[in-house]
Amino acid sequence: MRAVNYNPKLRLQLLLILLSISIIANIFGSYFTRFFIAEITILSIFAISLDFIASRGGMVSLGHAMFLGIGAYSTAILSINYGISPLSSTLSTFIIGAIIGLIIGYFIVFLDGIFFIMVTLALGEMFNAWVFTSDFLGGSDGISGIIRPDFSQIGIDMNNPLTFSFYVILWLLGIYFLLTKITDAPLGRNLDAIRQNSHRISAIGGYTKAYKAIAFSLSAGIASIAGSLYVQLNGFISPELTHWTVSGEGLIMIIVGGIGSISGAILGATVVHIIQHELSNIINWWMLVIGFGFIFIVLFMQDGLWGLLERIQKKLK
Amino acid sequence: MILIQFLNALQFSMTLFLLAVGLTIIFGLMKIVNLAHGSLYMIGAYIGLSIFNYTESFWLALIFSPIFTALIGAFLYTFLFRHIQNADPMKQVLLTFGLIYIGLDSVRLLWGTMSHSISTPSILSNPVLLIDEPYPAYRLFVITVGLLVLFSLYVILEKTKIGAKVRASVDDPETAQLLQINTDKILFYTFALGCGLAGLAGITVAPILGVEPGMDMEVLVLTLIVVVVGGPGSLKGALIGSLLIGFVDSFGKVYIPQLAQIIIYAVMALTLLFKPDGLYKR
Amino acid sequence: MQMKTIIIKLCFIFVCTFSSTSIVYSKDVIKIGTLLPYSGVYTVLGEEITNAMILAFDEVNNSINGHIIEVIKGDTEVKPNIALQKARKLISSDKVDILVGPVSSSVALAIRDVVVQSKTPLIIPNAGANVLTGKKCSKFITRISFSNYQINAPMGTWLAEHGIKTAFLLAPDYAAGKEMMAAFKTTFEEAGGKILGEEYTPFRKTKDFAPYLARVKNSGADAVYVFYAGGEAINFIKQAYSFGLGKVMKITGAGWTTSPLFIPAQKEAAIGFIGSLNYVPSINTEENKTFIKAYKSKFGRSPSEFAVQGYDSGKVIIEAISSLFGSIKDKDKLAEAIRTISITGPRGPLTIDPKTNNVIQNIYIFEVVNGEQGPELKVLDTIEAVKAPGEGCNL
Repeated sequence: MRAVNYNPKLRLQLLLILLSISIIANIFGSYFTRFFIAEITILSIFAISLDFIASRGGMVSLGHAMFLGIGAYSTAILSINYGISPLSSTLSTFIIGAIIGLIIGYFIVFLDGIFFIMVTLALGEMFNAWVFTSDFLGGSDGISGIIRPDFSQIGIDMNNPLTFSFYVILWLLGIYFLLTKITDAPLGRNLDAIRQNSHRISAIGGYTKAYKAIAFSLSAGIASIAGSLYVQLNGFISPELTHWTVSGEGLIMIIVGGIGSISGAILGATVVHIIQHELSNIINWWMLVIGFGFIFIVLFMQDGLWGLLERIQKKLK
Repeated sequence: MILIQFLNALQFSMTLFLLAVGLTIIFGLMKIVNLAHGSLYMIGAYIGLSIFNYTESFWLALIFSPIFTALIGAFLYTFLFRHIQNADPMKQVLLTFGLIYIGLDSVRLLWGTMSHSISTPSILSNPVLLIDEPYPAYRLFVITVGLLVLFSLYVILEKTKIGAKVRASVDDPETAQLLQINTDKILFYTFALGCGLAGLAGITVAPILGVEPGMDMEVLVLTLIVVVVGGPGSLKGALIGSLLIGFVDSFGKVYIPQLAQIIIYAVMALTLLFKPDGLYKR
Repeated sequence: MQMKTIIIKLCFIFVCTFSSTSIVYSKDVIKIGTLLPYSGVYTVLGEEITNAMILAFDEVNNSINGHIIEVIKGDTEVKPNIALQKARKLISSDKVDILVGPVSSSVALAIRDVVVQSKTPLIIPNAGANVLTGKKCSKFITRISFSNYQINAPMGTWLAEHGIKTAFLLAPDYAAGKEMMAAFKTTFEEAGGKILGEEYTPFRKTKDFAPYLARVKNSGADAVYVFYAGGEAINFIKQAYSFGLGKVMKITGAGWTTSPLFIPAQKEAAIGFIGSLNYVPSINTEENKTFIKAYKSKFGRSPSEFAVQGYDSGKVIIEAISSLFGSIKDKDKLAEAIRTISITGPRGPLTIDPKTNNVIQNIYIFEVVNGEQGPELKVLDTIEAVKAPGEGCNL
């Protein structure tokens, strides 16, 4: 992937625009709109996790849905079997996801990009198959009855879709600012250098593998948070969430949005999810449309919508 | 019983081989993994289904389906891959990923979502008696097809001029071009061949496993594992990898069903740890 | 500033797209929402159920007590999270009066809470998980199809009474497969039978049954009892035939394995299979013959057991609403009307068990034999008024 020089100011502007739209739509929209926005926000978090390793470590994962699953199932088990509060569960799943990510990362981060895709795809499928047959995780029926955090003491009702939607947006913002701090700091710059110059860095003894593994671990943790919030939104989890098409949708989101700027991932998630939702209401063959659209973007718009915005901004100057 | 299980495993390995060899050759030459390889397998089965339904001859389907699939491969190469040949390999792989979506919905649009079936040809429909146990003759046929392809590829690659040119292009593309070996033409034919082999796998196996949407991804993951374990770009690796994974899977299902899936992934993990380039380098 | 206007315009478009779509709630329309698969592997089931339900509505000229029936479709894609989205849309945006669906039990479990909380009556035309009329039952959920127990339990007793002393079980490794085998096992062992072994094959990932067939054969059981559907059913029957399994033991199981939907693909391989279903085309009643004729002339093919379940859903809706003289505002009354219906459909007589809200129906034991137009399901025995136990349900 070629280097994407993100423009911090544009990145923030894009975030603010998307944020404003979602807040207004949330307040004035219907019950259904609020759910939809919460869903898009959660998918944005997932897209960000994918974008992070793709842009900073050159790693494109087609198996990240497994971390969605880890986050979701952990939350389900922790809150139902052990009575742990949903908020603590979400934080715990970050740690669980990050640890598993670190272990897996150790095995795979040294792989060349194409190998990496193949192996993550295979790993994702393995996880999907295991979850499907695991009685402990509810098997093909999944687990239902997951509750949302209880903030009633401070007068907030999380069962209200409006409130929960804002709650999820807060998580997104938190992750956004956390990652901007990281990418603007040594870890991010190091990873950027690694992506551009693998050989040279190893030659001068840089800790390539370690940095990439940490990045993968962080990405896994973030995807787990998305999974945890997702299961609280819907109240249930089933193995479909770990299917390869979910990882695939994530990949499409970051390509459409444009890799390298966190806001691009959010934009990509929003656009792709809306298109998919609307299309599937009209036609049965929406996968065909998305496939063509995706190929078009890969061929002619490799920086995605973010790249488009950058070019527009340059022209406006 | 063991003989039966052995033959089942061998038949499965041969199917994997037909798929893996196409994928690995394409990788060896073009440095890309065609994620839509499973889609070509599926399309081969569907085209075969239509030919069978129209002509009522399985043999015609067997012969023409790989040809049509190879043509599709040729089309994809000419209009898609050739133009981005010099681009980042990742870009090409992403392209193949988009093709998966197109392939899946195309198949659904053209043939519907129900599962279809092809009857085994009458000559091969009766069980063969092997030491008292009846064994489906058709499965022996599948094994034969696999071995024939293996033998033909070996002969072509090792004993013919074209084969030498292909091997040269794989091992050292720059020198090959200096020697005026037309690499572009080689890529074209090899890509089409790889796709044709995937289609052959699809139609060969269709009378046993049926034809339905979704069959593309089921087989893709195992094929990828075979290629990763065997060593991308190596014909020998494709063979050994297919046998290894095929036998582990088949025998695993019989004797340790709970762990069968895990073992295959463990094999992949171990290979990545100790022999990251696969068992056989190209 | 230009930016501001762009934002405002985008918001407007966004909000408009997703706001509630029904501006005027027309009192004259009865809205039936379907939550069925219209894409993916189960598409044909979703279509059959919908087709037949609409056929039932056509028979009353698409209106009940002067109110027009409107059907709004929601494609679940057999994905629980998508189905949940569609359910929310149908309930809160489209404001449907009754929901019909789903096909898959995992989808049913996913939408159950949303449906019950919104007090929207749900009629299940397929999903068979025992728990839906057990622990997760509700007065708003009425199942007119079957429970997994209902279809399989009678086979256990019947096979034991007809000379089968030992059996080997084979089913896909997911909730429904396991429930079906458990039901058979219970009654089979109760009647003195012995289970020699059980195998569960990876769900929707098993194409090649050869390894399992070898184990089944080696067990020496009198019969193998299976449950498969879709492509797996076609593959299993064909491969069992190619290995000559039917020559050494009886091949039996839940009736969908040789459903009329799959027999065209299985052909002679299906002959000899003994199974149980809540409907077979050869049921010799006026209702069934009329239904088959009507379905065939409208849709060009013979109806399957899934179509019948859809047709009966339609009839139940018509019955229930007629009994309320078309006034369906009171959701509790509507739910009550639905669960107290009693109709005679192509399957035979149907009533709803007040303790579980599951249908009470006949179960038909059949054998696949060679008929004039190819293999067909011949009824060997009819078990009347079969109930589902419904543990954990307190209605």
